Amino acid sequence: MKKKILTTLVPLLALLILPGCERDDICPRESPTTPQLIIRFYNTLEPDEPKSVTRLKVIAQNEDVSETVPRLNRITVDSIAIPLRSFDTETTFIFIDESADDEDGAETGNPDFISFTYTPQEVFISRGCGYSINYLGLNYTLSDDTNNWISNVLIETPNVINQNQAHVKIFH
Amino acid sequence: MLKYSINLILVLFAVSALSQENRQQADTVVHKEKYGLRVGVDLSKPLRAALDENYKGLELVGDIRISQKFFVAAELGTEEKTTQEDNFAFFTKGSYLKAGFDYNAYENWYGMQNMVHAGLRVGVGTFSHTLNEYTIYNSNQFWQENGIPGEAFLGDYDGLSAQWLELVVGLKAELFANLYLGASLRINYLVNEKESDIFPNLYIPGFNKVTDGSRFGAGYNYTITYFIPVLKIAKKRAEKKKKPEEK
Repeated sequence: MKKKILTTLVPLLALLILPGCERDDICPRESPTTPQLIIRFYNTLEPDEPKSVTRLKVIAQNEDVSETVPRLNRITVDSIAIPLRSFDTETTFIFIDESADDEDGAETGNPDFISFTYTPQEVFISRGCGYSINYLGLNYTLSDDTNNWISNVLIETPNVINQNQAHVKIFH
Repeated sequence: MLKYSINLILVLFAVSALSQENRQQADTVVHKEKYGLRVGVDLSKPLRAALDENYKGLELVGDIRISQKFFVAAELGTEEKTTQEDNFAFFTKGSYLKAGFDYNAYENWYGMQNMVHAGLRVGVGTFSHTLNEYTIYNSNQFWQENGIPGEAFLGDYDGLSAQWLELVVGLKAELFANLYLGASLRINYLVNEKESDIFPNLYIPGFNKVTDGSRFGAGYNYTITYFIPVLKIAKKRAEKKKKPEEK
């Protein structure tokens, strides 16, 4: 009888321990979550040729925020990724070409203002990551000044749902 | 002492059986086995409910012996569970029915009714989820929007269902007369499910946790069952023993 009780109790204990061995559900780094906006720069004269912007500085500009986007501070690149606001329908950026300071610390580069408008849509990804945002119906407004260094903007992928390809082409 | 005497009796049986075969006589010992209905409950669910305030569950189990080795088996259950994940929390409520068979692989001594069994079940469940809270995940921290609660998808997701197969291995031991303690482990394979586009099935009552990118699940139960004898049917021993000589 004792043996019987023992042989039935051992599986019980084993079964109680089992749920503790489940794998952790964390959000993996490579998981596609809320995408950033990918912009590639092209040559106005040769629209198929990528063309780097010299000492590009990108400043995110919204009501109470005016902050340089990390890593996009006076770098020479032909493509960038910038974060959009998830709980709003518009994000404005200042793209400064050939950014530099004069003796007094004032900006000498050429700033152009671009606003991106979109409809944020929540979407389920996975148990570990939960929900992320897709930006649908992307559109832009390039503010006219007398000296725009950006000649043209083309929305390549209006639905921003991943970071696999460029969403916007900027010609200069 | 009792053990030795049982062993001795068994040896004597074997010897007498052998001698009977040599003379090609039918086995005159009529060995009757009990057939009937076994019903009970899963003990692990009330125990889990007592330890975990986010869980409630009940499972009734039963089987009917249909032959020497085979049992028709079923489980009927209901569960309520709140699941807390890193970025969201949800409540699941539903019930399920599993039906199939068990094959008893255990060679019992005379008069014993224990089981070491393997079996198969078809499981069907209907359930609903309620998304209680969630936040939007963004690996980019620039706009400091991480942790802002979402609102659009909160609420009930009703009318969901699932069908699955279960591979069962387990044991049942007769603790007292007709009273059995049993345990089983189950590997589940999700065949079909009806889920919401907005909030998928991450937990299915009866099937248990649904893992990202996998159709497999796992389960267990720990049962106490009572056997209600209905019939006594003679075990067909004689036929079995004759077989080698027919060749």
